[in-house]
Amino acid sequence: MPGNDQSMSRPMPSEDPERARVSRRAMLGAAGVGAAGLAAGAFGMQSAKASVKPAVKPVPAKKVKPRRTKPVVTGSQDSSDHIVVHLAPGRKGDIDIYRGTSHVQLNDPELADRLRRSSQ
Amino acid sequence: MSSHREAPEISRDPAADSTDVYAFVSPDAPDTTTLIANYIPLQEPSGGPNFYEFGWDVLYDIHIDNNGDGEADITYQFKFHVHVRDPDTFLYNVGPITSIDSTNWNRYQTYSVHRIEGGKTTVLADGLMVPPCNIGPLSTPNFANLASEAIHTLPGGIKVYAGQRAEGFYVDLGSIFDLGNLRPFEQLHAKYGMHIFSKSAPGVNATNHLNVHSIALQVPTAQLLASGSKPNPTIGVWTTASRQKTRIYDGNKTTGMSVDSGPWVQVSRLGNPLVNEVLIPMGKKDLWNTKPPMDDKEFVSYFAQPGLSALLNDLYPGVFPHLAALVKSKKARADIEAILLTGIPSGIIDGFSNYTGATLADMLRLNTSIQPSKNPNILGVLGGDLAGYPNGRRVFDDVVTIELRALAGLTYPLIDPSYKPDAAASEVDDGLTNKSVKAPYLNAFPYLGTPYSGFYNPA
Repeated sequence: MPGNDQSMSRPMPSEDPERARVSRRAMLGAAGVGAAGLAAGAFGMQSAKASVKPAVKPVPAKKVKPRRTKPVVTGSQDSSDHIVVHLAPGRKGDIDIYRGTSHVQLNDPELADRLRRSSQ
Repeated sequence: MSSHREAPEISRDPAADSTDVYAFVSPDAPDTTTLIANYIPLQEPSGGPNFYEFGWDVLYDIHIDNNGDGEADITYQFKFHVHVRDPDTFLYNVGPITSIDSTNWNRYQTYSVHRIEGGKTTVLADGLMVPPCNIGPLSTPNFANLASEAIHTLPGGIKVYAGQRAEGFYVDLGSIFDLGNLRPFEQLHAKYGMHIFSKSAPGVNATNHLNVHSIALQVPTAQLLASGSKPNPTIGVWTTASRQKTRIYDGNKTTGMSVDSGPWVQVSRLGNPLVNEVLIPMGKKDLWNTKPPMDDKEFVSYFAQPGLSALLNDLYPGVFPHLAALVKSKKARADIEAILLTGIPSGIIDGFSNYTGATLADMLRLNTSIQPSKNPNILGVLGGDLAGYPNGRRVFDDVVTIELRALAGLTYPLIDPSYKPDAAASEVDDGLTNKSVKAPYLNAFPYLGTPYSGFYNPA
């Protein structure tokens, strides 16, 4: 088809051989390993097991103020520029981080507390 | 409906809402198997200017289990893209679309097909065209030609089509959802003492003049079976749709479009028709949609004690006395479990088995060694036609009647020959047949009829 068009799409998991799945079980198992590796890589951490300590010294909560970030303007639906952080209720210290099609889970009660306080 | 708007969450998300799955040995190419997954239910054909399209933010899968464990051994994965030639017009098309590459067509879709097996992903194709929706005689003057152009041949002798088709599933929604008041038996409906009908009436097909979006594959059957010298000829088939885990609205200040992030999460599932619709209770329907078939053990009580069986006796008092006694006995409906969750073992129906093992998993089970019937019966195995539902499902099979009758006790003798079904169990239906579908089924791929046009079906 002609090339001068705007296109919209989402990335496929199967486009990444690492995420190709034999089965749901296999995928979920592999995802755990992959996510841990990505967490370590993406956030400069030594380990991303059940409990992960931040590599940088935490900023005291009282110094953190809510900030409005500059909007990212993009002509496509590439979501890799967006990082979504989710703190689910009732899971002390658990932080879910989404970027592109990846999901990283951290356990950092101190950071989670700071984020909760920042959002109030 | 078979699975149209069957659960609260997915009813709010038509692009990801699976409506029907079909799997059958292709009648015109019996060394191949046709797999069809339908999405986007109840399309009113004139629904422009933004006509129906696959979700470019949805991941569509057709799964095949060929060893009976309820897990996908082979997955065909479909990803759609939207293209806009001129963002400065509000029009879907700026003139007649006479060929699939017509530049008059402003907003069109392409897609990729991946095959995933044994941890390996193979890109079968990318950039395949979806045909436009059938708008009317000026915009889509020869839709059948456009559809033909949108049938693509992939490596390995696979055919694929993704796009709008006429709805082939027939059902009298208006009567069924009016407290189960089946028109042919409405004079017997007495649950609430409202004897307002004195005689029976013919069924009304609620899906006439409505369209769906189909993803159809025709695959050489050998490519679907397990490797080995004597693979089990029965495969389990189901479809899923997935969305990414998070969505930020107004994430893009230029386009106003939302931005999704995170891994893909299953939001829709369909194997056998009507399972989530009428067997799974309201409080579990959304959960069921997120689960793989291999987890169906947790739902088995809804198959063993189907609520609709009890309801039939309740709505039509005195019509199903044997069924009432069966329900009261609390005996497990092993016949329903076999039909829907394991397949029917050999030795129960002469010359037939589509058993895949003890794993309880809702999959459409097709014994690919059974050749297409020369004289198909829309009641499938119930009608003595072993090539029809629940041996896979053909586009014209009367799955509403088959499942109604099974739930009414007609199939219970398969596991308890001493049980005598009620006379009404072999008669209950919604009064429809494949003749109730206005758009004729096709004799060749993709088998579902040409979609109804918006111009000729304005409402």
